Amino acid sequence: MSGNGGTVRLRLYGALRQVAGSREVELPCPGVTVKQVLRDFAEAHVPRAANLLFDRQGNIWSSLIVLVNEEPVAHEGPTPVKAGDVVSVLMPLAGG
Amino acid sequence: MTTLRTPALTMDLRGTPCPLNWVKTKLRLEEMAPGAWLEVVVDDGNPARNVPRSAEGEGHRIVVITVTPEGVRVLIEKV
Amino acid sequence: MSAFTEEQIERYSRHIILQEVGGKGQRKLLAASVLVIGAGGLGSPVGLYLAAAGVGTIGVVDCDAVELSNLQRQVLHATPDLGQRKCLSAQATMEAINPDVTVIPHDLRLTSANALEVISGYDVVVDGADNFPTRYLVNDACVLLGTPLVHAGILRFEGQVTTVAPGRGPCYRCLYPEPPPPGMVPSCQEAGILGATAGVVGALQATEALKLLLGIGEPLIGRLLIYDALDMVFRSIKVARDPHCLVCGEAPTITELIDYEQFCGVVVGKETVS
Repeated sequence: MSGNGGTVRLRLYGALRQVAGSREVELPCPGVTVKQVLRDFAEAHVPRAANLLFDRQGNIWSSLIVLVNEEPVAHEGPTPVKAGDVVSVLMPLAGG
Repeated sequence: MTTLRTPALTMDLRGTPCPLNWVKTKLRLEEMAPGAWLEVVVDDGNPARNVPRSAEGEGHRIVVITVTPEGVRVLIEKV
Repeated sequence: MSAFTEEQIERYSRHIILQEVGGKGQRKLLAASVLVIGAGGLGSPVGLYLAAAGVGTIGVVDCDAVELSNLQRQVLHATPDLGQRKCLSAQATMEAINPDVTVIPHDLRLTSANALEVISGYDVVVDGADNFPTRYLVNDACVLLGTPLVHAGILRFEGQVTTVAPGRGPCYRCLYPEPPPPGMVPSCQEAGILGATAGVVGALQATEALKLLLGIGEPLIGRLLIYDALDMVFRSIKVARDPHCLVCGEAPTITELIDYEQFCGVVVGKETVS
């Protein structure tokens, strides 16, 4: 894994919170893509997180809204993440 | 200098408490054309303070306020 | 223009005083009709506030009976209502708050067969359903009918709200193209919900509905409002229309309603939605 030290904060919403066991997770190795951050997280919590985060083709699931420092980012394309960044992952909530 | 003319309508709101006196004034003003005059007669005290202030707050013009023994006459021009 | 009664002038005085409402706005509300999907956690504050506001016709869709576990948050219902049909209990509560309001109970489950008929005729729809299939169904029906939709979802201590203005802004599918696979995410029943969280989010929905009816303020069109009760933070993110959206995009493949119970593997046109 490449990286220049430091951590990235991953904030989880909806059902993902229970999967992680907490609302925020710190992950090492920034300087990579959003997809890599989510992969690293899924590897630490397989398999349930992977099922929610990625589709069968290995892309970030279409119904996730991913924010980097509060700004929505497109799933496709390499979105660079650096130390100190906050990556938030939102998903639909069904409850009513 | 404003030349007084006969208002289009006079509403007697004596005995009507705040804020209903303003509410009724406002409802009447809504139905009037801009530039038309509405005179409301309200009790002295809070009504005489609140109604003109509310009317001005909504952008209407207070033409004149006349204090009489029978009540306070507030002449409003709808803007 | 019909005049207000003395009672109405007093009842709605706090609305009429507002510059953005006035007698004109109150008349709009009395002449308006809103359909509330669900008389539960979200539907309760929505129903209460829309009735209090004097929305003249309010439809309530719910096919359940009032249960004890509902009473922790579903403030339209009370202990004496246990066992009653929820839409009827809602009707009684709302009409008692405001006799100017006519509540139309729809004691049914929305399906592809009835949704268009139930929804058409209402000015605005407020989605307080508790499951994904209904949410996608309601979204699709509203887009097809061109009816504005105030969507919200809740879970545990979180909520999201957005307003769908068909043809103007993104729809629910632009945000969330597909629901999670069944069994992957819990419902309020399984996960729990702080009652007051439902109250906050439902009141936001009622606010949006009233703004749409009155034509005031900035509705959440093209924005998703996110509420986190634990942090007590509100955030809002911009969301865009998806030109490839299956129901509101440039080449929509969803041109009639389908049921989403078996969402995995449903074939829509030539595309497999999974």
